[in-house]
Amino acid sequence: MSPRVSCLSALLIVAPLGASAHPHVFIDAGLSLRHDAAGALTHVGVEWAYDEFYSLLIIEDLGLDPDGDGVLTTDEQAALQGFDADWEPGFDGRLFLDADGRRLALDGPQDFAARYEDGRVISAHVRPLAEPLDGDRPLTIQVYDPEYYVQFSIPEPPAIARDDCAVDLRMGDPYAAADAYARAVGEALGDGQSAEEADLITVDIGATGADSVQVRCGPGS
Amino acid sequence: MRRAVALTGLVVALTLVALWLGGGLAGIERWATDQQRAVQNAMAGALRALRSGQPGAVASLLGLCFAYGVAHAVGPGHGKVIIGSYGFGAQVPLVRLAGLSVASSLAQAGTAIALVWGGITILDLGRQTLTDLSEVAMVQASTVLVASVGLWLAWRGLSMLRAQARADRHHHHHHGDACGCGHAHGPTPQQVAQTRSLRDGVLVVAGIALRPCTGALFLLILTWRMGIFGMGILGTLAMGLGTAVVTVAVACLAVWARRGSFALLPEHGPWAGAARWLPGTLQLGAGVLIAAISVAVLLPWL
Repeated sequence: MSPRVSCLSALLIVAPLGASAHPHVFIDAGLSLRHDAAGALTHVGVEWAYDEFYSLLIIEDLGLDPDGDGVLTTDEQAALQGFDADWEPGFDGRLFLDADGRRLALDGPQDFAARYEDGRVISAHVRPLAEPLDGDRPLTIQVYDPEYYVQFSIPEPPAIARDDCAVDLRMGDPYAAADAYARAVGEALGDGQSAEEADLITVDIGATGADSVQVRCGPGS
Repeated sequence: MRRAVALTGLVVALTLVALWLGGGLAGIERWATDQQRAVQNAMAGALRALRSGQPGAVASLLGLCFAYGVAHAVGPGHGKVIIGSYGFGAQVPLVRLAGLSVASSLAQAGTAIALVWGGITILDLGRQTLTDLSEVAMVQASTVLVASVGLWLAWRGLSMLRAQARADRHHHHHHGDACGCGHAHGPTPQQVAQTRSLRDGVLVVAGIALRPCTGALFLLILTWRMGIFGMGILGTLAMGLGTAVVTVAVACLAVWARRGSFALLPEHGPWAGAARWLPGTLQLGAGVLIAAISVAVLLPWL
């Protein structure tokens, strides 16, 4: 077996181990698109609804709701605010916007607000676009964790104030990630890359298997 | 007939491994993840019920923890790789391998319990520090240990092959029946294969146990904060038993497949001799595989 092929086969073995380790937290992401008066997209509102188990962990960890009735007092409500607002520098917020195949730059989060509802902690924040995007440009939105520690899903299409938009919400394809990986390895073999280069094959597994939203606004949508 | 059954084991195991590597099991993994999510939510419900003192909540929590362990173990994991490769590569009786699977799952639960208990009471660590510790430091330590299990198996495989080579040479220079030549024979491959089983077992269990499941940590931290840590301990052990169901299945498959690969070789004829080399080769291969996977997992951290 040539060194190159053995490297690739090692990669193949490792891929399922590393890439699709188990998620531990499940989050339903709610999105809303905000346009300015000229119809340009300026902000994306994000709501994370944590699964009940992780929600209980957060609530207990903060020492809230000791009577267990699922309702927070005003003080407890205040104590919950900003529990997940302390982002490490450069954290992407697991929100990815693409227009014309180009990733859009987003500014840091603002306007954090959290509540506890039906056993779930729901935390909201707003991400401004670094530059407003012409609202008629087709847009793709994904929410996913490249490390797959959290499994995100987008259960509902995003709320949009404009009334001339068509939204297409696509559920993630569990097979897409594996297919993408096989394709990348096949291409690398076909390219006659060296083993060192082949080692560097990276596939954004989270993106290929994630739920995604396509938005088209304006005339012709 | 017996040979056909053994060969079937090899075919089933190879098919599963090929499906897994090719991503063909993605659908099952997705299903398991959905189950995990549902069980996780139900566990939260049971915990809330427990706090409000509802009867029956204890039993339902333990049942859910067991289900969580099963669902969580269906995905890829280091425990299944170790048990599978060890069972396929080394000559381990099924009962012993199954025992090792259960022991390592329970030991893994024990690690989580010790980590949370010690982390909170002795070191006064917070939730974030505890989970980070488990996600990074313990994963690394466990991976190093797993790599050494691999190297250990590979080295033993090599010794078996060398012992076989020695035995063959010996065979060729033809002693008489009453040779009495007095020189020491090296250990036979069978002897090499059968010894050191305790050390093997300890390494296998430790390699798996050193890496606790994050879900168990969540449950333990949660129950600690709720003042029902005893329930957390029981729940974690139930999760361990659930995980063991899956690893025991992997153990059965590994032993079955190993018999299949021996059945591949004819009992008579020129190829029959190859059977003597098979145990060493399988063990060497399994060891190298485990070590290679561990090193590749560690690489991002180096």
